[in-house]
Amino acid sequence: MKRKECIKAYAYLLPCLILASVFFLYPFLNTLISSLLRINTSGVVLGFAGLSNYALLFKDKSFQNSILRTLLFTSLFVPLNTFLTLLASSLTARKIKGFGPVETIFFLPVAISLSGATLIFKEMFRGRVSIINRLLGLEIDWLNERFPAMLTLVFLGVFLDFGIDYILLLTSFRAIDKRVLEAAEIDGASSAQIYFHIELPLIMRMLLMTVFLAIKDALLIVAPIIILTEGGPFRSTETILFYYYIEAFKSGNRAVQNTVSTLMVLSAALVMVIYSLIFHRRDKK
Amino acid sequence: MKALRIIVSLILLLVIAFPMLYGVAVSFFPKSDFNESKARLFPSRLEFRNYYRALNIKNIGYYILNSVGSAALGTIIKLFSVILGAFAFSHLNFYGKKAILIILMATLFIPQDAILFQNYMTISSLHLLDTWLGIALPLSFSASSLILLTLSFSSSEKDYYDASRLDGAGDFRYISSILLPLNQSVVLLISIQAFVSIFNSFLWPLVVTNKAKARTLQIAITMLGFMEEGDYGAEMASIVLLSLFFVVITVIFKKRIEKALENGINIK
Amino acid sequence: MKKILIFAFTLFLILPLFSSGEREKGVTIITIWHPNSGLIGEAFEELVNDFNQTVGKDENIQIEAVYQGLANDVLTKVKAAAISKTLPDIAQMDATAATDMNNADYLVTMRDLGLREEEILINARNAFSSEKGLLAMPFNASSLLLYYNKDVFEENGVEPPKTFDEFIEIADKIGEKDEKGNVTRYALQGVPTTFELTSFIGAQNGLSYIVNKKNGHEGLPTEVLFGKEGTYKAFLEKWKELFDTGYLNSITSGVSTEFASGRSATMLQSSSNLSTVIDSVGDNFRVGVSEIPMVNEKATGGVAPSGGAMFAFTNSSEVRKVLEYFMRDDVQLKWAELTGYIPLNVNVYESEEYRDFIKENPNFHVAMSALNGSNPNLTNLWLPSAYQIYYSFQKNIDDVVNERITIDAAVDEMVTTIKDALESYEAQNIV
Repeated sequence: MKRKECIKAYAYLLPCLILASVFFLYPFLNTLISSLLRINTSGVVLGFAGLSNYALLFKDKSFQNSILRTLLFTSLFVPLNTFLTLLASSLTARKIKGFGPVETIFFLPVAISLSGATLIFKEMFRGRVSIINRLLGLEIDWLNERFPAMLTLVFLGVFLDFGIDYILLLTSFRAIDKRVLEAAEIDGASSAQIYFHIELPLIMRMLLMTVFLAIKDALLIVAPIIILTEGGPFRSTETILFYYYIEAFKSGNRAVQNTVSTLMVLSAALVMVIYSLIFHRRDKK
Repeated sequence: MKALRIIVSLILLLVIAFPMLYGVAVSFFPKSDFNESKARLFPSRLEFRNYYRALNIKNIGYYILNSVGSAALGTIIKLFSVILGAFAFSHLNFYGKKAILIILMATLFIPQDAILFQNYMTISSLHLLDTWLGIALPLSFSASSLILLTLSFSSSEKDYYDASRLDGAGDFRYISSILLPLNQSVVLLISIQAFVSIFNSFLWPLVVTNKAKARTLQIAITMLGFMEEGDYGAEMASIVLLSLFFVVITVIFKKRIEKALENGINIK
Repeated sequence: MKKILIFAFTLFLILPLFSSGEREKGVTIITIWHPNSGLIGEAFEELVNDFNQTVGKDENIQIEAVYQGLANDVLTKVKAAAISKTLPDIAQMDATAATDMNNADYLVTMRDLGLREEEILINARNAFSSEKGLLAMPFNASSLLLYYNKDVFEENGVEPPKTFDEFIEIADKIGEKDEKGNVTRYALQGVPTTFELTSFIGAQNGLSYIVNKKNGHEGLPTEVLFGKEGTYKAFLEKWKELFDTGYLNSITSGVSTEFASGRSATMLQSSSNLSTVIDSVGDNFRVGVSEIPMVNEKATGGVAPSGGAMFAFTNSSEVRKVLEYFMRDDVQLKWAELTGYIPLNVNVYESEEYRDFIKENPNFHVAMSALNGSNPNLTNLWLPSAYQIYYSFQKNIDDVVNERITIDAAVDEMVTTIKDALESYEAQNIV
């Protein structure tokens, strides 16, 4: 590595590093250290706590519940989101005449605010008389039954992430060199073969990236829950960050605040290690 | 085969478009429509009062200016930092590349609420309370934009970079005349996302502003108290109006977006 | 692109010009952070303007009222502002702020300010009192009410229930089923939580607490009382009985809309929602309100007050004068008339104008007389982890009615939940 190139790179990274350090890393470091201390609700440090804050957290049944709920949400949301965005982008990757507006509409959810979309869903799934029930002939009290409430959240999550994932995948499909596809066609490959053996591997990097972002969004979901279900009915949609929101943010529990934030970032590290392993293996091939 | 493709796409289209269309329909519901024993698809009559209420904000000009201003400022800062950062990650070799990338990516998982108080103190000690910069700064770094752009940049041909360097063009020249045009769809996407997310944020702008004239549109609308008063029609009207702003932008830039989409990202 | 950039930066540079407000010399500005939005926000603005044009003008005090989001957002802002020393003079917050404020060294209590407290309704005063005295000046008070569909009640010739037994008796009269046996109108929908239980438990035997130390007002509670006193059990038994009529729907979302659309004959709600409920019901039916049903004949304690108060952070005569203004009987009357909150200056109740007002709006009178007739020591609950306990109660009650858990086991579970929260708080906060 050339020294000059290094210095240049650091200079280019400076804006990112400053913003990230001042507004994310510095506050996080504070949190990390504080998680090892005993701090009262007014913020006064009472002493060293070691890992006892963590022990307290994992003993809390509500926290245990929130981990399970988050995993359930993630395992429902990520596959559905990936499937639908991949489906939409695969279907429209090759231009269909007059489908320009369709692409724009698939992209439009990006323009709607999170709270706006959530309120629309709240209205769409409101009780037994909701419009969704009427149109589909169902009798579900969506937000007052445990699993349906979770499903509503999943649908909302997909709607919120649809636009950006769709565009990312669509543009990846379209960037594939047409000559490769044509050559395969001439060789007599079926369109399924072309799709699974040529196109899909070529967009795999971006697909993995959208899956990564979906996992991130799923593990961190909270704002839609605050508006849509308040963790209900009966604590069935209380995710980790919702637990965090009511206990740390609203009730001022410092131990929960510091330990949960630290654990979230540690779990991020875990996800990224797994990811870099996947990327590494792919790059080797 | 093509027919199947079209049918499935249209079903998906309906699923995605329905919430938006229903939002528009609900924004015209008179109050009594919310109480009916079967939910309505269309309003019984068009209630324009919802829109009148949503628009009836004193000094709305200030709020719009502040929302647009802080969001634009944040978007510019974000683009500036992320483009340079992504360029460094994708085109240059340097010590600690992986480590820095991982540290930056870890910020994705820091809960916003966790850093609210600390950031308030920082902004306050920088004397940036009640300013656009104060609203924008903590919202203008995004690791997800950085990795998307890095991913996108790293797949453009390195040959171009070498060639442009041989021609004596500097990095900035290369970024602005080759890299950005090649990746315009992703750049456009993250700009829109940045703008929308800052424009729509509520808690942070509320926390860093005290003066009425420094407030943003989201706060002004919340202050109308539609949710607390159970005025869902007016609430929905305000959501439609806010979204409309972006829809108009999308329509204006439609050609550009479509052109960008045609090119695609050069992911290998 | 360049032009846009230049434009944006110029705008950014001139922005500070907007925010430099001019201030007259010799005038003290008193900043109030408040959560009042919509109609209530307009009413509050009116009171503030009145002050600025009358008392304020004479005394050289001007109030600057700043909206800061919902009551809980105001607390968030106050906590942030306390760290960076940018606190307002006064902040209007609700009881969820009380525990935080009781521990905050920057709070100026009413005793510190030297505010006259005698005129304030004692129930409301107790709601914001701790071992330090009156923490804040109660300003917007409300109480739990039973809202009912007057048309349904009259058609079936029944009166709003005074006790749970009466409620159970009339449940199938005010409820309705179709031919297939599906309930088309419930007698009641919803699941009680901390807010309702402070009254349902609190009213028993004249006065009962959920936890000791007066529901946490006199320091961190050390004991959960509803277990050994049997008060929660008494409530659960009646609630289960009501559920078993088939006309109680255990839901947590959309309770108000169910009521407004006539699918629920009654609902439990704070009196502060009265105008909103009447408004959203529209011409569907006539809305009535009554005092909440008693768990049993001995549950005579009434209701716990809820609502908000003005917390002070500056110790000055100007702040005191502003608070005194808000407690004046004519101001409290106006505030009550504009918003439906319970007037808190006891002198208001004697006034001719108030009597006329309640004669025209009898619904507004119910909350006031309910609170007035309640045991003044029946106070709201101050507990750490308040939100978790809130949702735990709902889950616990739902588990009981659906027989996932016996009543005794449910009581034990809630006792443990609250004990755990107290212990964990103690572990972190007590030296």
